[in-house]
Amino acid sequence: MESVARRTLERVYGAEIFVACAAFVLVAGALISDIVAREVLGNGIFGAQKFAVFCTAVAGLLGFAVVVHSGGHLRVQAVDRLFPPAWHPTMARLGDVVSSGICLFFGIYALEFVESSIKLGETDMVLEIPVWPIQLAVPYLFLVSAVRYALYAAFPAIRPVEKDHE
Amino acid sequence: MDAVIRSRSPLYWSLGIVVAVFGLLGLFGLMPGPKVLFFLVMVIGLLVLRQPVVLILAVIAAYTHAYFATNSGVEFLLQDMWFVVNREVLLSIPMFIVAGAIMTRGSIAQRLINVMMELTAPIPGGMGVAAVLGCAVFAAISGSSIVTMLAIGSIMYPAMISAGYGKPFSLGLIASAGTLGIMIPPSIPMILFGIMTEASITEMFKAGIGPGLLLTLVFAIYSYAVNRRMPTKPWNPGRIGTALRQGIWAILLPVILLGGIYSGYFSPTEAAAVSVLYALLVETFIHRDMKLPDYGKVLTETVGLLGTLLPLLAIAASLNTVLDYEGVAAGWVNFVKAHVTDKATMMIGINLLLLVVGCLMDAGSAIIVFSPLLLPLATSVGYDPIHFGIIMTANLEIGYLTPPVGLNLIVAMAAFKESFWTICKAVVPFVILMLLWLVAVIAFPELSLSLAR
Amino acid sequence: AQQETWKVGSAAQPGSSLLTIVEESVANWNKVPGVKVERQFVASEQELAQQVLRGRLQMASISFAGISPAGFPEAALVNVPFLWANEAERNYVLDGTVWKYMTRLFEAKGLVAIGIGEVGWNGVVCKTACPTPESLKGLKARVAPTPASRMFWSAMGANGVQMPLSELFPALQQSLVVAADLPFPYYVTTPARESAPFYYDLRHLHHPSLVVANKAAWDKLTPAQQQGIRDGVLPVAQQRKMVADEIAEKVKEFRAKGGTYVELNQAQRDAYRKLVESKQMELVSSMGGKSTELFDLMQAARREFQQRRGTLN
Ligand code: NA
Ligand code: NA
Repeated sequence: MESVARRTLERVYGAEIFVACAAFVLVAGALISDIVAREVLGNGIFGAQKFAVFCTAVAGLLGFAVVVHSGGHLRVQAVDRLFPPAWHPTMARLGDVVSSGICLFFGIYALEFVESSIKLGETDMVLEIPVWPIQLAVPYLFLVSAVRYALYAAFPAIRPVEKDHE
Repeated sequence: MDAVIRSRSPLYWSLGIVVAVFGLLGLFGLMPGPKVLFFLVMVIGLLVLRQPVVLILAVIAAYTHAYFATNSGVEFLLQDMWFVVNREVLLSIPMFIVAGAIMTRGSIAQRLINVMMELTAPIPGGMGVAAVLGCAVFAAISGSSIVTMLAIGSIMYPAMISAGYGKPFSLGLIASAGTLGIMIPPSIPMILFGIMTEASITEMFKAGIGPGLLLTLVFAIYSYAVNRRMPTKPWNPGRIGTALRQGIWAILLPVILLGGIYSGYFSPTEAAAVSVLYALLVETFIHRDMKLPDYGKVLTETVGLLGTLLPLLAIAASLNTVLDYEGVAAGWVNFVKAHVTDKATMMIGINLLLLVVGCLMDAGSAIIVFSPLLLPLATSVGYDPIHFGIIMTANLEIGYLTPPVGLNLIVAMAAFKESFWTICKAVVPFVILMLLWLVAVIAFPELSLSLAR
Repeated sequence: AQQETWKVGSAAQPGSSLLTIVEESVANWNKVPGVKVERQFVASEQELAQQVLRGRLQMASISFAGISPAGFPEAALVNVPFLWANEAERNYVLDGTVWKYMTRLFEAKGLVAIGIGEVGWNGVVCKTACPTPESLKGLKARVAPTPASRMFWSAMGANGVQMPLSELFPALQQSLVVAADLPFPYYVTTPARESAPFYYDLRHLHHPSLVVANKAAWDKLTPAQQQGIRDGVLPVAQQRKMVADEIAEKVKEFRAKGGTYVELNQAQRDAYRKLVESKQMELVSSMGGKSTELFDLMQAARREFQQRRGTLN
């Protein structure tokens, strides 16, 4: 079970990284094409900049999940010294359960937000496309993070080593 | 020293969060009651359970929306998050970070550093002076503090570190000189000031030149003074020539960026993408220092930086909206109005208010909310509207460097991979200089107005 | 019923007649017993539309262009370049057919349409003189983030550069673009006035606005209060006059400071109109929603108006 969880998370991480990196390439590509089109071809590409904004949004939102996977989110460790070291593993698991709960909470609200967007029929002014497929990145980041934290609680061995920020 | 920071800084974080929570309660004038007690217990519980800081902040923001804000709820935090990622202003941040990462991992940065080191060899603190001037020049084409900091910092920060400048000094200098972006025209906050108060934006732009140049001078002199004992060497034409020859492609980058913007080929935002493309082409085909996997690493790193940055920006923006909608601003302004009448105390009161506001709000939101409220106060005691606009911009410029919501601090944390605390400490001497400069800007209206009129 | 304090969101800037209109309406609403309303500035109309639809704000004073992306593509029809033959025809169709139709669409998505309003016309702004349609050809022009703006500039054969409004002023300064289209009262308060001192009053694009309320909030009011709020909106005829007066006054100021403000006659406007007309239908059918249905109704109303005027003459 543990190895299945680890492999699955690695694959999801790989996919997220791929999509986010591809999004950055598209951002640069869109902005450059717009410049070339107007300076060389005599007409800029309508919507190139907005397309780039959406790509940046997706990359940044996926980035949140990516940082969870690599243990990069900053934590407050001051309280560690208040408790005996023997408690730390249990507290870390409990902490992951709580993190998972928080992410699930926001994930559900995010889903409702996207649902209301679909109902209202919100579109982007420039690209004239519905915005909800892009907004889906918001519930995605929270729900995937909820699953990640839940698996860390279940299998503490796959928990990423916290990056030392300080 | 580092070890001391390491062991103490988490404590500061916890303290910071607790202070922020109490500050938040104070803003809404909330008295202890069941809602407030539960809130405090919950935050302490999250701290004890070592929750990621970003999740604690998200919970604080959600609770604020649900229980302290009128007619709001958690769904509006999510909505505000979407509003933040759906704005064009976000665009250039990751692009400049990618460009900087490519140049550092490749050799453009190093070659530029060599050129700069040779050229500034005889001047103590010369590289620092170069960084300040670089920010001032870029500020003349960019209206944003963050973009200026990133565009110059992504080249100059690694340069200063490898030339032996102290990390705190380099970080502080880059983050602070970046704020010139909104004082030297063009300036997004000045545009907003003009729109909100009917002051002429053109006159605002002209009025920003004097104070902007003064601040440039202050930073340059400070850089010289701090580093005056750094070893110097006389100019060596041979070595300068070698550095220039090896660095020709690297030097072309700033030339292309500035030239391209000045001659109307692309905007400062698009310049970020141009610098990515240029760095990519030069490192791949000319310097040949970068391989495909290296680009993967650069992009992956940037994804992580943006993933750290974005939720913080979103939460900050959402809390700004709450402050705005709750009418907290009007309450504060009325407090100042009720307690002072003469010109001097009024100006001190307004400035203290703006410095506090600068801690909590980004410059754009603060201008939108406060300029229509404060301008009548300032003019009633005899201040010129344009001069007051500059005073306001100067105050909020300092706000880019004051926690908790200091956008240059937050972006520098992500871009230069340093802890928030390290950067906060690094900017302290610069903030002190800027406060002195602010006094000069207030005391000498001619500094702003002689060019504007 | 005593109501909690309501917020009416608006992107109207200080000094514009638009803001005066909102403020006067707010003052009228506050005279209704049990009603308390405050104005809330919201910089982005797109965000404003979401706030009122989702209930964070109870009311909004917003342009048709601003509410259109919030699920009302039909609202953008009124921005079709050179849509109207003249103002009388426009008022007849807009205040009648369009308003009735849009009211139903708003209602279906939880908004109550309360009143119609006026923002003004767009004209063309240039760095150097650009007196004819031919002179716009190939110019680098700022395209606003709307299909109507895109259609207008492409019909002119300009080199369109799409950018948000915040980037426009530095862009004009550095000649990234040398032309744009803006409403005059807004234009004269910006640095565009100096970097691009030529204004041509094309009147190719008209911006109506509207006051809407969130239906859930609205339903909590008594019928008397609801009627009081409806009556409190400044009559649209008065709004149109206020905007026209403001422009007349600002044109004088602008000319005194050395700006060039060119009023076009019918023949001159028609030269631009000719380039645009063939693309109007394409734009309408690309808009989505029930745009074509509403457009047909609008065309019918125009014919009706012309016939009426014919009999009157
Ligand atoms: Na600037
Ligand atoms: Na701040």
